[in-house]
Amino acid sequence: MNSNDDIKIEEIINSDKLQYHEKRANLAREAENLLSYVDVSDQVKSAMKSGILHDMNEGNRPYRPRYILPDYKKFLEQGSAYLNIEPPKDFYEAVNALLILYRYVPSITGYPVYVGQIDDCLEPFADTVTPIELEKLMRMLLINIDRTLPSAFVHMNIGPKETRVGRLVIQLERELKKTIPNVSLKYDPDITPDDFAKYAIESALDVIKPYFVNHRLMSSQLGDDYGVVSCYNTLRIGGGAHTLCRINLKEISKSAENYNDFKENKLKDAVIALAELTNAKTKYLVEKSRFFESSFLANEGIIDLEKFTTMPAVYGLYECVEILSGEKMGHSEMANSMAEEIVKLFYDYIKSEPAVYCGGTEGKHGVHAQSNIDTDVDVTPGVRIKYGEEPGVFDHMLLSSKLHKYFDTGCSDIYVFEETAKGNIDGMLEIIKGAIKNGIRILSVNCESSEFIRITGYLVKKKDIERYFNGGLLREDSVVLGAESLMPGHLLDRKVKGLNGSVSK
Amino acid sequence: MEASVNRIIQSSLVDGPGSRTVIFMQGCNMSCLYCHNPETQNASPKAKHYSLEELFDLIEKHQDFIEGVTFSGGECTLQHEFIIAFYKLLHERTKLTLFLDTNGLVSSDIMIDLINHSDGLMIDLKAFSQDCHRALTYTDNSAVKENIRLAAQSGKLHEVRLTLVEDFNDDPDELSAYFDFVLALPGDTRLKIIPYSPFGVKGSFGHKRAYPKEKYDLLVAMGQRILKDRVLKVWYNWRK
Ligand code: SF4
Repeated sequence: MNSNDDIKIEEIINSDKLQYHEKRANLAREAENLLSYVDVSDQVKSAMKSGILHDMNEGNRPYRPRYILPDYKKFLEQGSAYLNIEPPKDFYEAVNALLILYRYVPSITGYPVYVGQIDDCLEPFADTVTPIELEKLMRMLLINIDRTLPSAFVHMNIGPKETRVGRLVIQLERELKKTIPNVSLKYDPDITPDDFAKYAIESALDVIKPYFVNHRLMSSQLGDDYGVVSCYNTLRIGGGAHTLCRINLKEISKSAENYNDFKENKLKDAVIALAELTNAKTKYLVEKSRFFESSFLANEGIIDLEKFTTMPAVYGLYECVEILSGEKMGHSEMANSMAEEIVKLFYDYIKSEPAVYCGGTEGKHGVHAQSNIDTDVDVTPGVRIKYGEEPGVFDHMLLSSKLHKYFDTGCSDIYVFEETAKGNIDGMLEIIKGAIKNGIRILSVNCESSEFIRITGYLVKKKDIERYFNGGLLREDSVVLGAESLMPGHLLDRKVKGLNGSVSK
Repeated sequence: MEASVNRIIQSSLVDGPGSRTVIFMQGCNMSCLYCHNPETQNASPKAKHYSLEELFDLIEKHQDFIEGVTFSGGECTLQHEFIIAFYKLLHERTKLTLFLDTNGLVSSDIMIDLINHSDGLMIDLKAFSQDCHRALTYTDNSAVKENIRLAAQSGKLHEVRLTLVEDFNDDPDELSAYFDFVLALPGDTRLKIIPYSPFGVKGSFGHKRAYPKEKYDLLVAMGQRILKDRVLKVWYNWRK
């Protein structure tokens, strides 16, 4: 240990800003990083150094998967020997069992990124209590999640069927106006009743929750047992993602002599490095840290290594296209087709690289569009259009739909509507149906008057951002992330969709 | 045949039923003091020109997202020939609907033709009494009232629209005559009451304050006593 490490560790221990559990998490990270990095080639090291390849600061020696999606339903059916929990017999016991298990689900943040397909988990118990008890218990569950798992990457799923539990989640989240958990509604126009979809839209325009997930598209790629976790990652239930590393398309394009050089050489080299790093971390996690051998979740079948995969990702497509073509995505046919060509090429390249422990996506790497972290400057998340540069909303959606289909482990766009949308939910439903029909994978509709704002991939309260900049103490780690990513990403410039037409003719 | 267009808004949720694309036509036959789109009033070199096919292509590629189009303005009925031809094209090739947002100042022959070649109409009646209408728009409203009756009879009148301007067209007597007129129309014609806002307004009216909420609520309540749930409220939360 050198004296630099001493100082860092002392700083953490003596901080008057960090809570105890935050100190503990930071100390664990420092301890992990005292060891050398997992073994990688010089090519990988130099790609990381030049900013082309980025490991998301996951740490030097992975010892838990980045994202885990426990099969909560199975857990409720079988109980857990390790936790000494019998299969629950009523709603009370089921909620209690879930709350216990949440505390044992690791992830890169230390908090579970997935708290379950809650309607499938709890609806079977709904008849064991009165409607008043049902609402009370759901309220307690949601408040408990918000207070004990203070990370805006915590994600809950409902739908596509309408259930009492699903409806209560929407109703209560709208009423409680809290950030956690994120809620995604799996939406299929043939299964989800219009009335339920409209109920969800009204809520989304108010509190941004739920997001709408293209259930037909998702289930055709991952099967019905998929979940949406963290910031729009789509993975199999009972599985998860070992790691997420990403390449910066903007940086790659800067290193290319021309478009051909980009396609034939530079992108290819970056993908090779990306795959190598991804495999090295995954192998370390599985074979050296032996997570799947030691975890009771794996031993009891609540997770299954076979259902896990990796999530090599891209970001900065917007700038990449701008550099290579001199034109702007969303505003030029040429830029749009270049964007699609690049995404398809990335898909083909990464799918043909060797992959380890990727049973969750048929033995090949998962493909992901990463929606930025707080330290990114002047680079647009994933394959989105730069904030403030979006074209008309339908042109935007048509472009998204061409790009989204390649990202089987997740890709999303945010569409912001004016407040008048609240007065025309039927119209909003038409737009969402159009988006789903055209192959948009996940969409979140936001209203400009909403109290919440979606930072690149997660959700924070506008009030909390103000509080952060005024030096107040915050409970949620992601609010801190959010407030900082506001600055570099210019998020508040985001274009308001809808109309600004005449109010009187 | 070409349309002279001021601008197109792909996604609107306030110009007729459902999600619609709005085409703001260039040119108007009124000169309302409170006009929010004064740049659409006269012919302009900035206007874009679209052939039927060009406009159709723009609309068609978004047809999964919309219920239809709304021609607004300016005054769309000035370009009635284009609209009628567009209606035929739209109905031949898509399931989309065509709505008109008009000030109603057009001959009854043309109005009947337009009623037959549209799926719905929103017509402004900017003031009830002739004096008030003249003061506000420099035009008569007898044709407007007649056209509103024709549209109501056809069953295609989606709504009548009134923008309340403080101390101009909001006198209780004036309004009660207005409400009675709507009540007497055939069908369950709805009346949308819109509070004036100064945004985008040029000239002396640009300095007028936004319509006060208390007054607005009072007058809407008065309308509701006569027209019941046929009154539609719109309140913009300007002071966010
Ligand atoms: S009718 Fe409409 S566009 Fe014409 S002047 Fe009046 S408000 Fe403006």
